[in-house]
Amino acid sequence: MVLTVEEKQRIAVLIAGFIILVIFYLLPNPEGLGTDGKMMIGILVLGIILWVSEAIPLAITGLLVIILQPILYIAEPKHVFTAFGNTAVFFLIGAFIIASAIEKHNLHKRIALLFLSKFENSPKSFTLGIMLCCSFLSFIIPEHAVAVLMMPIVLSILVSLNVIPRLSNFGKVSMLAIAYGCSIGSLGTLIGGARNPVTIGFLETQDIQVSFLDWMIYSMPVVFISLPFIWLLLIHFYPLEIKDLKEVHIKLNKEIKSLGPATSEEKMVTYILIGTVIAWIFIPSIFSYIGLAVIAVSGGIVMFFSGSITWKDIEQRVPWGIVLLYGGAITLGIGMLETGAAEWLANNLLSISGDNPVIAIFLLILITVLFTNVMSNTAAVAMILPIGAGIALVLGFGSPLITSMIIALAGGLAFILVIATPANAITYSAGYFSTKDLIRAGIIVNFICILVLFIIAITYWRLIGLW
Amino acid sequence: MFKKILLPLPSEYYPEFASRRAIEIASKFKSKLTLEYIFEKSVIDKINNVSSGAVTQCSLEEMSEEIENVEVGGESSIIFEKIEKEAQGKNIELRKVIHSGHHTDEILDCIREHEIDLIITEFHRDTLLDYNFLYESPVPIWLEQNGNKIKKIFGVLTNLSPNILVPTAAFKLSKTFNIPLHLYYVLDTTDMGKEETELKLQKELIRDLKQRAKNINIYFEFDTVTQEISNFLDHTFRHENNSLVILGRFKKPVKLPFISLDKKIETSKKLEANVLMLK
Repeated sequence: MVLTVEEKQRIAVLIAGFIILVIFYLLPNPEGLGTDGKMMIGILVLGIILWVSEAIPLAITGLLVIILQPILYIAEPKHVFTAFGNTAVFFLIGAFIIASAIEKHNLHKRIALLFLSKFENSPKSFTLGIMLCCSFLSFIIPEHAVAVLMMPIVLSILVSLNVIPRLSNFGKVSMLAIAYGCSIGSLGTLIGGARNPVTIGFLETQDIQVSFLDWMIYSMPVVFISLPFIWLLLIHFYPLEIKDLKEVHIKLNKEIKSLGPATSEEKMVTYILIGTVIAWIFIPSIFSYIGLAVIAVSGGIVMFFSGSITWKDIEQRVPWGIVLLYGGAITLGIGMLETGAAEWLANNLLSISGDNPVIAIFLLILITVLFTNVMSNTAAVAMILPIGAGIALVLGFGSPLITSMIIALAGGLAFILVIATPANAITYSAGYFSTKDLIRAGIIVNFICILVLFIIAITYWRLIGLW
Repeated sequence: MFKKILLPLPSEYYPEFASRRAIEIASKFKSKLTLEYIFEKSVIDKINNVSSGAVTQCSLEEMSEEIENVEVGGESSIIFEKIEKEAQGKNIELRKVIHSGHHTDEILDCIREHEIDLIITEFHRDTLLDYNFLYESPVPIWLEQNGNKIKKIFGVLTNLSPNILVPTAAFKLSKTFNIPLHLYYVLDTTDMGKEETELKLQKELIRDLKQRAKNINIYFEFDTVTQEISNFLDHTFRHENNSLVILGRFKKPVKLPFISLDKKIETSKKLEANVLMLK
């Protein structure tokens, strides 16, 4: 068997990762940290190497992180696998099943087309429409699914306008609006951002409950303040050359007509979706023993019983690999905390930055943004969450809620590289912007969002008692 | 010379400068110009890698099909239309083909299928495209860098090359476009034979070239340089943005400063001169 250069590189990375783990084993324990904690940091480093390089699929790294803990005698298998059964994992499965039904019946496409048709007045408002549409849809289905939906719609509109790839600013802004709209929108609710449930799952292990509504209260200001800034910035950097949107009107009308009237399945999916969201908002506050996961899985099962979705659809449309990744991520967090590794890392980090909470918050945002731009968002969040919890403990924040929210939201700010998040790669594939365009716009957009998140964290969140 | 020109049009970007140059050359040489729109599959593969399972295979296939339909059906026609408009009145025979696949493979297939004898293209490092055809192509490649008017042609002869095609192409282009010609003989220091033999060969070559130039009524400047070829190319033509550099085949691998397939190399290192690589 002849290996390609890429395969050889992957094997080399894998071997290097394990060698580092062995080095960790051989190293003497640092002051203030036991063997278990030292090896947990070794697993974390291995995870970072594998998640950044993607030498093996992310889900397999997730599984590796789980099994290494009992193999290295850090935790008992029963204990590690119990952590995998976290409610967040089941919340995700339920949410994915609901999203699958929405995708199957094209409900998201109808919403998108109707929404966009309200923004046909001018090219500027149309690009704003794209961004808002992506954000709002990312409140109810995963951001990647929104990008998958919106890219072909916007692409066909650009083609109808005779817009030439790379030469048209309208094309650039429209595509960047999808990528950035999806990422920003995914911060807003527990469903949009894949890393959000990981965060609540992690918090749950620390006996902190965050409801669906709580999450929205914390995150929505970041979404609604960032969105207009990003849009203004895009149209400022890339002045739109298109003047007339007559073709867009024709195209959208044609697309809406081609969908026909809403089918009974579509209506059913809409009712179940609305019911589930209402339940997510209200039920946990009335019946506290019914958590978000129970409602999510119930929503998925009702979708199944109503005939809106079949098991085959669920098999095909639910990203099962991500579920494994989340499971691994949560066990990593718990292991880091229980062995004292998180606190040790936090202490060392703070010895460099000082124990000023405001500086610590800013650094946490920066570190998370840095990692999320070069590796899977969820993996980045999972990796930093326990360190954030350690920082919260050392600085006396009262609970890891503030640091976890910072990490979760900063984890969604992956705007710079094509590989940073699927939404960037999907929109890049249309050819309307170059990697340089993305880097240029992404750096400034990242800067704005970091600033918005930082200001909200030190003002609004403090005001509402998050720390 | 240059009877069948290929202009690859990748779905990733529109090669604006190469398009203009292809029209100009096709018009001068009365060539048939093949426009090959390539829907780049590797971009879709990349999404799959990046998503690492977040986007399911089912969604990816549905999206890929939709994008391919829109790009192949719609985007290609916009680009063809634009080039047709620019070529209007220039008496060029245009042929339009659409392919889906990987950049290099599709270009090499098209060369075989349509008996192409020149490719005119641009090189963009900031894409996911595979540019191996720059090395693998059996026919000459014109690498257009900036679309500027060419004010000088440089022919590079070396002790590493057969030096047959470069003078022929340089004379032809200089005469057709009425552009001053400068020939360099680069004595590559890494592969020098006996100095006496090298000097003798060089003198014979110059005598022959002068005779050929006289026969077809062409004047050229001439210089001899003793330097490693890749350093010479980099230092001499880095900022020659109004020129064309003609290179022949080398009998040993030479690192060309204008086509590094290593994406980590800074784009600022790019040579500004247009390059014609003869095969």
